[in-house]
Amino acid sequence: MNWSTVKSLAAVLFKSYFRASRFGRRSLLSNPLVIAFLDIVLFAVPFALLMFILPLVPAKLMSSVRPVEINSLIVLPVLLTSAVILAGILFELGQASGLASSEAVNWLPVSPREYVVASTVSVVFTYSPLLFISLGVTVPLAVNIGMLSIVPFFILISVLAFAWGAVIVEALRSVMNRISTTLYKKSGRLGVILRIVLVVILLVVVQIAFNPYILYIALSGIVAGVNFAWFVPVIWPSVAVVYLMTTDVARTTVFALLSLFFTFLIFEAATRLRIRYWSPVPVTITLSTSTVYVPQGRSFLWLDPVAFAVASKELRSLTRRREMARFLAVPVVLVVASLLPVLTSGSNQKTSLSGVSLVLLAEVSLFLPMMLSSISVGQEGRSIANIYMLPISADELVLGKLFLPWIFSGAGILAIASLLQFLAPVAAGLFLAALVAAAFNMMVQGYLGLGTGSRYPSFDAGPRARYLSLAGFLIEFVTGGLATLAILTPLILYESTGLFTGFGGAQTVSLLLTIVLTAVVGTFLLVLARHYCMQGIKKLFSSMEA
Amino acid sequence: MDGIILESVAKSFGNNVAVKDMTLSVLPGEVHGLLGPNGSGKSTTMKMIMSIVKPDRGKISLWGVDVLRQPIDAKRLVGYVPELPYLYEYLTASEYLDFVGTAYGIDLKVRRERVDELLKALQMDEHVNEVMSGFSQGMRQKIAITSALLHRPRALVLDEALNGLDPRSAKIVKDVLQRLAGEGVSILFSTHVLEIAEAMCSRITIMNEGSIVAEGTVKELRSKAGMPGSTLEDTFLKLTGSEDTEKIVEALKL
Repeated sequence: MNWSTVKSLAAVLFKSYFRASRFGRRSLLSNPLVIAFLDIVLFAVPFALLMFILPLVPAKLMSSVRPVEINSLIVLPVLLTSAVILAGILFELGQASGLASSEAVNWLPVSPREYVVASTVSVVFTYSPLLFISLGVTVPLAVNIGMLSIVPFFILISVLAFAWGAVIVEALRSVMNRISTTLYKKSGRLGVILRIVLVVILLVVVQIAFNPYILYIALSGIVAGVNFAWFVPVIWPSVAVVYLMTTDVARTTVFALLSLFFTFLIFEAATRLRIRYWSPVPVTITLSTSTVYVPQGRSFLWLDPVAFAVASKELRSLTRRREMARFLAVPVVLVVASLLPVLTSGSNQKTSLSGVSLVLLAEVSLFLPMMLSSISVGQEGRSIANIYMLPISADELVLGKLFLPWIFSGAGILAIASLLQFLAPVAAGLFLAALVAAAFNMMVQGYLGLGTGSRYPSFDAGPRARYLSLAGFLIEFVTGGLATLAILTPLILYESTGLFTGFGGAQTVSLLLTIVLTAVVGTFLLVLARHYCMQGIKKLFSSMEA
Repeated sequence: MDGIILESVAKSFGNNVAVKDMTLSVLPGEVHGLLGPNGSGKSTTMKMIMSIVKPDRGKISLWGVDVLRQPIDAKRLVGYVPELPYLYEYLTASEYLDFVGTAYGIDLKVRRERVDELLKALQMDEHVNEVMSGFSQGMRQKIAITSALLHRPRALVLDEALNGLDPRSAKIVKDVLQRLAGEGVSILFSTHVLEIAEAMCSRITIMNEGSIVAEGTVKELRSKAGMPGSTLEDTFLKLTGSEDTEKIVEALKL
């Protein structure tokens, strides 16, 4: 193994990550020295703070905190492995397909083993702030509970567990690229659908797994089950820490050695996978075996052929690009994360559900159309040139671009509203009022999102690109939030204060007036939002400087 | 006025002057070569014709349609092949051509005939249902050329359109362009391959640092450079002030 090759390749991979990411080319973080400095600060600050604060905590309170301290030490190694794997997977999935292949290593004199080591080192270094801040918090805890002697071992085993994450990420990269390529090559259109479904499921599972509520339950389970799940390799570093705490040196040594053995095992597996699959090259994907060109192009609902062509292109962009899958996963995560604590709360499920119903409906009608419409200009990337060189008008572009956000959001709103109505039914009139508000909100958010997306697009195609500049993101968040609040105000007032109940006294009349008021506010905002959107698109057309 | 007309067009990007006071006309039936070193302003000029880049001043018209005032109408008249065709990589060739064909408002039956003809001629018919992300540079170029010719434009703006094409396809494209010129289409064509420019273009404009340094037939250019009987390469190097190539090669310690 040529270590100077490993060192320079690791530096290249590390720098490419930061320079290709949204941190940008001129990011200070792409300098390894800055990361090293950041690591020191992230360790030193919490370490110093906790070393100062913990002795001041009253003994009575300390006794109740102690189990948390012990559990943190046990759980940290597993948590570090999982966190690196999670970050690595999200990075890989968020990376534009065109950037996923690092073909240069195919013709440079770099061996697969050197590549695996370099890739592992670069991943470790990239996410090292996570390791240092975790140690900065947990080491004072160990000192505080009188376990200073375990600190060196604890640090070593945590670093080892952290490195496992990096090696596993490297192995997963080979496998994921291979599976993706094979799936595409062999199954054409079905492969595209299958891949998007798998990616969305994976993202949903991963993001839900790191939801604070779920994480709390899972970590409690890990701590309780460390002794029973000793045969699971990922747990070995934690098991070693448990035995060290009980001064069982023999068992600590066994699990530390097993951990080392597992390190070599996964490294060997990652190397063999890299030898077998090496770096992926772009593949030819055939969606149909037919070589006959069958022209398509028609009107659909309220869309003329050009607007429908734009909408079809948007749908294909959303479903065929790996980096777009996370946008499909977000609404699912949003709904599941909101519903899960309520559904697992036991007794007062119905009361809790009716409490979150309006919030959930507001979330879906706000975030889904806002997100899909605001990214629709930036996600074009450099291919936006096509829109400029073809005779597509601003009206056609707006209708085509908003079709998908509206259809998806409409379906989402109906699905959520029906689910909530099934789980915690409300009166039909109230259900209708909520749907009217959600529908207006969805349309307004679509226009606002596209208006902002066209004014502040980010054409950066790096990993986890957000396709909207930070300024655009903030503006959109504020305007979208205010619009949602305005549209929902009549309904909120009706629910909380019985709006208009004094007006003739009848509940039905009051509800009807609430719906009318919602429609008035919604229509007014719709006109404003449409104007904002059209101006944004026209500005986009007039300001193109390729 | 017919053809592609630029009157006193200028464009700057910050302090960088890309095009200075450019006046150019590409008449109907003319294949007009636009030559110049890298960064001389050729691509910017072409993007301004396509209303992709807005000029700071001046007027551009395509067959009488003002590009700045009626960009959509102007785009319907012209076919464009950019220097780097950024196609939608996640679409298949047929889906992309559908998108383009629909934007130009081409009838389905007509579109089918033209796409079939063009893809067969460029040997791309076997790849029509493949996603373009796996295409080579030449294949992408062929799809870009097909999309530019699909609506039978009255003007063509081709920015190094023959890049990456195999000799057979390049020959076909060149012959097609000559035929279209014969039918009255105005063609503005940029290339760095001077032999192609000499063989194809009836008139040539040479640009350097954003300005036109010479314009005319190949014969007129030679006489302007005071080099009758020389090659177009030597004429070009003289007119763009880059005749020092021999000294540079000698200085290289390779």
